[in-house]
Amino acid sequence: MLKNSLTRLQFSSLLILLVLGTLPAIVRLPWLVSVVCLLPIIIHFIKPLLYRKICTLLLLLLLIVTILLSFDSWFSGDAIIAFICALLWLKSVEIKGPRDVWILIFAVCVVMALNALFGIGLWQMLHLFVVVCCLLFTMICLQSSADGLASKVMLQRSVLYFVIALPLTAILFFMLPRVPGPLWDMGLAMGLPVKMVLEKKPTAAIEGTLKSGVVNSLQLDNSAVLVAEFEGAVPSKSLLYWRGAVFWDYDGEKWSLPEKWSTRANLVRNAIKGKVAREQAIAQGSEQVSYKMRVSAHGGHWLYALDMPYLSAPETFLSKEYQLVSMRKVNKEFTYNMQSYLNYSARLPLTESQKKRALLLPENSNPEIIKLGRKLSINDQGERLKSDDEIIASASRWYANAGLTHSAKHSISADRNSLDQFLIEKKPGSVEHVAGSFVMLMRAAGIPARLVSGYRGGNIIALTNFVIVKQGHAHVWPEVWSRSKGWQRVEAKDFIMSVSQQAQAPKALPKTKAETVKKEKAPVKKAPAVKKLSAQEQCQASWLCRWMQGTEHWVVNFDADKQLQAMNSLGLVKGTVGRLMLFTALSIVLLLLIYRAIAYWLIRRKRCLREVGYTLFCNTMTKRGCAPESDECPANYQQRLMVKFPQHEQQLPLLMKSYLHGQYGQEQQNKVYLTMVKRFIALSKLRD
Amino acid sequence: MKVINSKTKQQRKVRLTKAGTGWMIACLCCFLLATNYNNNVIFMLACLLFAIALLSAALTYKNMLGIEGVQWRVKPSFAGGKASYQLHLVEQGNTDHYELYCTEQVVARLQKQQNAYLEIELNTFKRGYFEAEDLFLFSCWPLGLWRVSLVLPSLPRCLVYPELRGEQPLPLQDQFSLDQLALDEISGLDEYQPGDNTRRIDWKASARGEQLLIKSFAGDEAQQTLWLTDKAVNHTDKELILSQLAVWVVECQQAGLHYGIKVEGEKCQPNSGEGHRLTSLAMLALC
Repeated sequence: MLKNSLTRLQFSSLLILLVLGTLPAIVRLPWLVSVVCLLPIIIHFIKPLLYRKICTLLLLLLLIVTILLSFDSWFSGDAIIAFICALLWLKSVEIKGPRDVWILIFAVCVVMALNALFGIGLWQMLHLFVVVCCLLFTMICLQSSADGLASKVMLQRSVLYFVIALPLTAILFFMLPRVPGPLWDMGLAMGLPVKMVLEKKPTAAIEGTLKSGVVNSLQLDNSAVLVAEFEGAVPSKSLLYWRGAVFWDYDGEKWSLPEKWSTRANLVRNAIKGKVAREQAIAQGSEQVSYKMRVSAHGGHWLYALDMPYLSAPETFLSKEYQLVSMRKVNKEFTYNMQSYLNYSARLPLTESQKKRALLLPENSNPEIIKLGRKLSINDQGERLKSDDEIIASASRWYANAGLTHSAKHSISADRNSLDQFLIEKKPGSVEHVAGSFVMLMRAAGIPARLVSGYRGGNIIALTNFVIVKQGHAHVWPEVWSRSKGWQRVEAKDFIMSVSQQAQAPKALPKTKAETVKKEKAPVKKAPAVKKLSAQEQCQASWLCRWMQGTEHWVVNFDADKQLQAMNSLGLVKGTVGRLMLFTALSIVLLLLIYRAIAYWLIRRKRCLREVGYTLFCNTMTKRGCAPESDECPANYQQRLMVKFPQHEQQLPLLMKSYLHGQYGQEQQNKVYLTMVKRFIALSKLRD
Repeated sequence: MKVINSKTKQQRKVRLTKAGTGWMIACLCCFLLATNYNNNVIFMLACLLFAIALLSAALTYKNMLGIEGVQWRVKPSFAGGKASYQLHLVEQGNTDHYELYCTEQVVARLQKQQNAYLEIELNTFKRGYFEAEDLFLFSCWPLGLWRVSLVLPSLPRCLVYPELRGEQPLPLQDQFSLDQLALDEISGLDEYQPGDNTRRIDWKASARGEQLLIKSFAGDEAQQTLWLTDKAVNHTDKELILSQLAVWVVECQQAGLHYGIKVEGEKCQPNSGEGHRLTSLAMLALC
């Protein structure tokens, strides 16, 4: 701290830290940039100060030119990291004292953080641990004076401190309340206009038509769509369905809204008018939530409300499809108060024309789905299932067991049989394929069905009742009609797994008969090149695999939702950030107390070994007729013993010396002392 | 943050060092970055940095626990020189203490249940009593993020003699006293020192107290005393006069002379030896 020059050890540890800290960036950057970043190492071997300065200047120029030529933008992530890495190495050339070392330490932290932006995983976390361990070693070296601790002891201490810090880190990592990012979401929650964080040309939401892939493309966009402020606690994210346009018409390739649906006359004609009509439309509503919505300007008439909207705000009305629509085009940010029921029964009677539309199957399109739908509507005896609910349940079961998968990057061609490809050929499909195929299946089974577009979920801002919904939350879901319940939402996506989930799931599915037969018939070939794994190795591999998957799930992919889930399972009431903070603080205090107790126990144990040895020695000598007097100094006792047992005149001073060394500081003597006493007793028995 | 140890009652202060402040800022930046990008690796880094900072506070505090400053010793010095203080440090706990500092002087390592002496030298500038400010024993070990200071017992005041400055030679020629009338006149009683003439012991006076006292005669002084007076110095400035007198005192001591001092009407009885030198310098310091 007070030294001005660095020792060789301090400098070496710093260089190792720099190598480890910048390694991921050096590996990832283009090779030319990496070479230029590492070139300053050469300057360490140049002695004359003038040449060093000239070389530093030239390298700086070379770095600027290389970055300019290698990257499209000066401010791209890679360009910034390359610049920082090169500056770190250049700075290492002209370190003058501890202050410069601290600057480099902080810069390494920044580089590590920036590196993590380019990919998170288990390996990145392990690298982080190694670098932090090295960081601790450098810091201890920096604090140690030239005649301080040996490097081995400092290394041991740095590892020890790291290990001690890990449980503290775990408490903070898992218990500290998570605030979902980005940070400007907080600004939105606090009243920043939604449009301020939109792009200049906002991505068009689902408006007139819906083709497969539209929702996926919207999901890539991170711009905000709406902000909702709830009165009271925010409902579970899984219940947040922000209802938008409702699609009835499907031509085999795309879903579309009726022509001129947004003209004022059509909007008014389609509205649910009056309190009585509204109460008829939504019956048995429960779990009512009130909230204030802020929707960004989009130039259309559509608005969003939580499924199922109940009361409409001024200047808005509910359509007969339960969609909230604005009287005027939303050309500026629009704020309105809403009320919705999370549990409801949408009993608006289905007119004949609506029923016809909700059962319409496009011609020459997806024939397999139509066959499947008809099959699902009849039982084993060939009779039609009695109730609509049974058919819906049967279709849901089929979905859950069919081995379907969904993926943002689907490979289904956009033709008239695209839904067949998803449902029958089992190709991974987009969310439109999932929802659209279910609607078609239902229609084929004779159940009126339609497609609803909107958003699902949202980012709950911690410590507030705000939810920010982004284009990334874009979603579509099917709605089916049953005579008993009216229109009801079916989340077909939840029946099936994503491609990544399927890859992680254990492959325990039984092989098909054809596959089994084929394998049996195939000639048995020897595979000398591939060494078979033994049962133990397989067990170890699966254990390691499971451990890595668990770590990936609970550490690398840990987020606010998982935190809430974990805290709920521990009995903490949901949404209590203050309580979470309190538990974090209490856990840290408890952990520190545990550390204190362990340290106390270790010291006591060391002392105890010595006392146990001395007591054993005294008891043995008492039995032999020379008991120690109360409060007698060990040296005096030794003198008396030597008079009485002259045959032990060599061993007794050694024993007493070891005891006194242990008592006055040299802890390593304690264990040795006990061993010495035991050996003395054993040998003296034989000798006496 | 102030902590008073119940055992020693000595105050300990815990504060972040500059490096610690930078560390906390780095920690906060990582936290913000992790939150903004929902990045768990950066969040882990932020948690790890914060955990290390917490741990560092505990370790640094532990490093300063169990140390007690017991007693100061001080040596007088000349103005412009350095006052030497020595503190007896006692280790009361059962741990080693590393990298202890006091006013940028390393105390290095204090081993468990052992004692150490802290040597401090402070610059002095003018004669008289020098009163130093309270000193701290501090350490940033092991990570340098926190600094824990132990307020040491107040330093005793140190007597600072006049600066040794002056080139005038000793006034040997005309400053020896020739007062023959006072030859047999008893000028006072002194403590008996080994080597004194036993015939001069004043037994009556000694019987009244516990110490032997010997008679001193003015005639003795007159014969061999060198009187160092302010009038003999060729300066008018008081500090320069006192500096010159201090130089003479040192020279007289080195030459083994019997000398006395007269300054501004104050008189230091003639004598010789180390004790007399200190008395003379103290008189000059406080004059």
